[in-house]
Parts: sequence; structure tokens; C-alpha cells
Amino acid sequence: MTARDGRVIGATQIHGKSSGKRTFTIVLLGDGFREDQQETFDLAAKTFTDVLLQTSPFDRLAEHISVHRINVVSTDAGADNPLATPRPIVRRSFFDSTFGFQGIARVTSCDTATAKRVAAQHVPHVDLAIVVINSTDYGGGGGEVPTYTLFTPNPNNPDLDPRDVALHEAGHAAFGLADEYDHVDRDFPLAYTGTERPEPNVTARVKASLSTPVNLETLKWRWAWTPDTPIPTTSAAANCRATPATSPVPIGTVGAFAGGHGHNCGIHRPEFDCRMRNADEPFCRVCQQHIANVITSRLTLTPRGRTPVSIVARDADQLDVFAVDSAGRTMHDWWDRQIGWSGWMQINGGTAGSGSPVTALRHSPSSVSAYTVNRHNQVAVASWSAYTGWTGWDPIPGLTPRRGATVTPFSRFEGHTDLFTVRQHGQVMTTWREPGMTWTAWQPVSDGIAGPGSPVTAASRFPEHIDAYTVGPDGRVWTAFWVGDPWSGWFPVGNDMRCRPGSTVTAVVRDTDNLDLFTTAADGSVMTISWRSNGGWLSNWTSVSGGVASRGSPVTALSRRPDLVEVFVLGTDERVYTTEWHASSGWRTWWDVVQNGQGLRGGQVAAVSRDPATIDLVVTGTDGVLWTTARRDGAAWDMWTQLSVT
Amino acid sequence: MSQAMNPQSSTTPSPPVVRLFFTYDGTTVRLESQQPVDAVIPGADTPREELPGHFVEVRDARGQRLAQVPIRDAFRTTVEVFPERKGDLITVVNVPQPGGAFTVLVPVSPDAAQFAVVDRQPPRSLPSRPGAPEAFARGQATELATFAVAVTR
Repeated sequence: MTARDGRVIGATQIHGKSSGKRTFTIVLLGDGFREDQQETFDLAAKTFTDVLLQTSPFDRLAEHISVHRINVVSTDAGADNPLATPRPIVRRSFFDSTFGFQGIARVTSCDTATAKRVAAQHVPHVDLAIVVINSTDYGGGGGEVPTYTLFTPNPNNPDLDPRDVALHEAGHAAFGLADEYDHVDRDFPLAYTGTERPEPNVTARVKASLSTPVNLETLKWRWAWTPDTPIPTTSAAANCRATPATSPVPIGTVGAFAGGHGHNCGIHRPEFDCRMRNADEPFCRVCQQHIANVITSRLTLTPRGRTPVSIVARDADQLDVFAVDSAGRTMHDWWDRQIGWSGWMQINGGTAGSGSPVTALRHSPSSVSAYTVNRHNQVAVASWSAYTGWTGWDPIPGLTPRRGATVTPFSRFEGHTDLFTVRQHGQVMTTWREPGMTWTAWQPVSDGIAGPGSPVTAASRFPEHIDAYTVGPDGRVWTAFWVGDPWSGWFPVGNDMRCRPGSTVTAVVRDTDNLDLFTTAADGSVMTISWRSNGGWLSNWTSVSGGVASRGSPVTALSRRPDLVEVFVLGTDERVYTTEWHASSGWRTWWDVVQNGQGLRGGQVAAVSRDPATIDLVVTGTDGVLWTTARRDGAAWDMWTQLSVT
Repeated sequence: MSQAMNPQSSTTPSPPVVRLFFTYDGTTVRLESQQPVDAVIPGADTPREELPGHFVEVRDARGQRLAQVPIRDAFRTTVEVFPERKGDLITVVNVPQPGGAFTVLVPVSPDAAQFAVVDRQPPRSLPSRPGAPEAFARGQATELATFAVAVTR
């Protein structure tokens, strides 16, 4: 009953066009199949694959999944059964599969170390290994390597299919999902008394009573919940001995149902039923979303058209990138020096309304917030902390923004957040919040009106100061300032320069005495104007070294120190261009950032400085996916790399 | 865009990925192999959050954590017993001495010096002023084993 009891024939891919590291890779290993029984295993592997790909969410992710079978010859057919009568059954099988694990006849197990080793040797990208046991007796088991038998359910009986058991166990082994069933054994406590669970599909944060207020911001699956569903949706009996046998809401409704993780109370699950509660039920919506995130985070992202991307540096070793994908989902990828890029994941089911980007604000190295205008045309915020993960998307009430509006977050000092956006008819609006507070009521920034498609941007030279900027309906750049209530009136900046419709005004604060603005003129020229504390606005907008931007491409600018400004834009040939201003020598001529770096027409060059010596760029390429490059002072730009998972 | 030929030399480095193969008997853990592999580690497998549970931590020479990867479905002290008929209850039984094997993919940057298998408690809630958001501190971790990095990078 060891690995000496047979031999490995080899691996065969039975599903998937590719078999690389970008696909989720499942390996099925046969055990207890003799040489003359390999066709039986081949058929079993195909049948499992068919069942898998008919199960949500794997059905819609089929192109991102590969399945391999590893044919292994065992000396004997079948598996051990130490509980068989009149005498124990002993079979010489390669993975030493057995019934009767821990004295329970139908629980199967195998030599997980051998199974793991063989799977990795033959399919290096393996994500999930499952052992298929050649027995028609009912059996299945979990652990690091799920096992199941070839038992065939009788369609006339309510038999449980062992393949359903295998899919439940895959939920644990490959996706880190929790069990969602109630109290199951007298040796275990009825109530869960621990702190919040790490799994995505159970929570200890929901209080048991309807009369106790629930902090919905910390509800893990807040994104999937609708406000007409009570939280908690069900509660356990007062003595914790039972949970409701029926659902008070339609099946499939996401709420917070008492019971899960083997306890009746003190813990809640997202839906009344789920494969992680009953193995023959579908995965609930929350589990499906988590599985999909794990699988699709290996892919590149196709962003939505020219919707801008946001990039923030939480510190010198950590970047966060936010984008809206072609399906309108709010997506997030991050880079850590020790880990690399982590792959795109949807932020808690969030979606962005047509044309609206996800913008972001770093609060500290361990916290960041993201903002958008959602599909319901509400301003919405989601926040991430290293201790609580992402909150759900919460609407900031009291405003109907213009379709496609940008929410501009801004911080004048640590802990304080100002937001700017544009109301339905173009009115410039603001709100603010500090930790522990709710958002203040939206208020207009004087009588400012933003032109169609133009966002509001902001800058601050000291904590009690804000400048707001936008391009007005007349095509001119307008500004208003705040140094304590009330806001000033709006006034035009500089001479009579007219901007390209929908242009963005980019503001760069070099120090408390110097501020520069950038935008695109009606003919596409990249224009700038400066403000000095000892002279105010210079009277005229001037061209930045004769540069002309691709139609629709905004100007991105950074100042890493008071004597340096760096500007990025897509040129009329859609290449990524940059230039610099030095206090000693003025503007340089434009040059190509990296050869062959061509962006989607009219797209944006997102830029951030994660430390005083480094700049990172993100651009949507002509192939429609996101690319990134970076440069340290004194070195050349890196070659472009696709922005996905490392 | 043209793709980078050598991401390791970039300003935004991507550390090599290594598959660690562990066996365990109770809380005795052995590292059986460290195998470089051309694979990706999705974000779900390198959480930035302070989660409770069993993890493999990648640490530098001073013991500072560089990355963490969750260990799934190992060290379980119970086993699920499925019913034979739909609708019947799932039960669990105790496993007196858990044992088995697990593998994890870890990023091994040039700073990496050791791997640690830890069992971490949830973050601790800290006192905070009324109205302020809840504050936390990293949960206590029990170190089950540490191993030196021994892989060619």
C-alpha cells in the first residue's frame, strides 16, 4: 500500500486551450486503477470535468480553467477498507487510498504527500489536486487533496453524488471557503465565540438580534446585499440549539443567516443555502464571486475605453492601481516589492457608471479609499484597511451627479478627506469627512459650473487652503479657493485661452509658494500657467515645448521636488511622451518615454511617484490592455510590462 | 507596447516563485522541498490583511515578514462526514493527530532568508477615542517551524 504499488503513466490535458500559469489548473489523479482499467479512469475524469464545467461559477470561467488527468497504474483495483466485514480489505494502490478514515466507513483519504508530489512533478502549475478512487462504493473526503469514488447515484433515490462532495471540498482546498453548515456534533460548542473569521463566506460581525444596530460598513458581502433584506435575516433560537429550517426571504437572497462554520449562533452566512452548506446545492453568490476573483486575477485587464486609471503609492514599496473593466466593474491590482503584482480583483462587487472612473486616496500605508459614480448614479466609496480588508461600496447620499462624472478625492492633512464632483447640470459640488464622522451635506462650490466632460480637480498649498479647478462651459479654465468658509467666487485663470472640450486641469503644487496648472488648448497644445505667492497668476498660458496631445488625452504632471516638474501625455501619434521643467533650465523638448510605447488613442498616462527617486506609469495600450513601466533617477525607463499578476 | 524581456531587472521587480512542499504530523512540520516554478501567485494567496489562521511567512534575515501565504485545509482537527442521501446532515468527527502534506507558492525576493509556518490569532482591538474608527494591532502568532531559504534565485 505504498507508492511502490504501481507507476505513473503520465499527464494528459483534457480541458482548456492553454496550460500555462494564467489558467486555474486542476489535476485529477487516478488511484486503484489497474493497467487494464485506465479507460475507466479516463471516462471518470471526463465526467468530473463535465460536472465541474456545468457548475457555476466554473461554467462561465471555462476558458480560464485547465484540467489534466494523471494516469497511474496500481497493482490492485480499488481501495483499502479496514472496516469491511468479515475481514478488512487491503488493496495495493499507488496513493494508498482507503475508506474508513477516522473510523467512518464512507470517509475516504489518500497519501496526500505522494499525491501532491506527483501532481506538481507532472503539472507544475497545479492549483488543485483531486484523487479519483476506483470503487463504486459511496465515499469521499476532504483535506489538502480531496478524494471521491465512482459511486453512481441512482436517479430514483436521493443519493448524494460524490463529485458534489469533491466540489465542496475544492471550495476549501483551492479557494479557502468556510463551511456554512450549522452545529453538527455534540463535541463542539453550539455558539461561535471567536473574533471575525478570515473566510469570505462567514462573518462573526453581525449581531444576533434585530434590535441591535448592525454596522453595515463591515458586512463582508455588503456589495451583494440589498437594503430591503433585514440584517440579520435569520437568528438562532434563544438557547442556540437550532436555526430556522426555512428561509423568510426568497432563495438566492443575500442577507445574513444564522449558522455556519459548524455553529448555530455567533456566526452568519450570506445565503440560506450554498454548496458549502449542502454539497448538492449551487455555490451562493458570495462564494461564486470569490471563486471567480481567484481564477480571473491571473488575467490581464481590458479597461473600459478611455476611462482613466488611478494609481496611488501607499509607501515606497506598495502601489495600488484602480480601473474600470470593459464590463464596468471596479477593479484593483496592487504591487508589493516583496511579492510583485497581485492580479486584478473586483472590489466587493462594485460597478462604475458609464464613463466614471475609480479614483483613489491613500490615507496611510495601511489604508486607502476608492470612489466612483456607480451604476445607480450615486457617489460611492469603499475603503481598505490592513486589519479589516475592503468594506462594501457605500453611497454618499444627497447628490445626483452628472452621468460619467469623476469623483476627485483630496486630503489637505492626515485623516481629512475632501471630495469634489459635478452635479447633474454641471454645478461643482463638495463634501468632506474626518475619521469617525459621516460625510457632511454636499454643498456647491460657489456658483461654479463645469463644462461637459470636464472633472473638478483640487490642490492645497497648506492645510487650511484648497484651490478647485475646472474647465467651464465657455472652454476657459476657472478656479475658486477656500481658506475657511465661505468659498470664493469663481474666476478665470490667465488669458483668453480656450480648452479642448472635456479637458482636465491638472494642478501641481511644487511648494507652498509655487503652483502650476496644465491642460490642453482647443488645438490640442499642452498648455501651462504658474502661480507664485509673490506675484499671483502669470498673465498668459504658454505652450509646453510645443507639445500636442492626442485628442482626448489629459495631461499628467508630477512634482517630486520644488525645482522639478515632469509632464506626461499621449502625443498625436499615440506614443507616450514626457518632458521636464527644471528651475535652472526651464522646459526641455518632448521625448518618447520608451520606444514602442503606444497607447490607446486619446487615453491617459497615469503616473505616481512612490519615492522621491521613482516614477511609475500606467497606460492602456493599443491592444486594449493595461501596461506599466517605471524609472529610477539615473536609470532608463523599464520596458513596458502588462499589468496583471506577477 | 513591447513586453519586458527581463522583469527581474526592472524598477518594479517580480520575485521568483517557489513551491514549498511540507509534511506535518501534529504540530511537527518538515519542509521537504523548495522548487522554483514558473507560476503566478494571485492576490487571494498573498493577502495584505492581518488574517487569522495558518500561514507560511517569508521573512528577511532579521525575521521581518516580507510576504504571507495562507495554508489551506491543513492542520484540520476535524474531518467532515458527508451523508449518503441529499438533505441529510453533514457531521464532523475529531482527528486526534492531524497529519498530511501541503504545498504553497511563495514569492522569494532577494531579501528572503527564511520561511516560517505560523498559526496566527485575529488582530487585537485597541482602545480608541469615542467616534473614532476601530483600531487594531497584529494578532499573536505561534511559530510552528522555521526553515532557511535554500533555493537558487
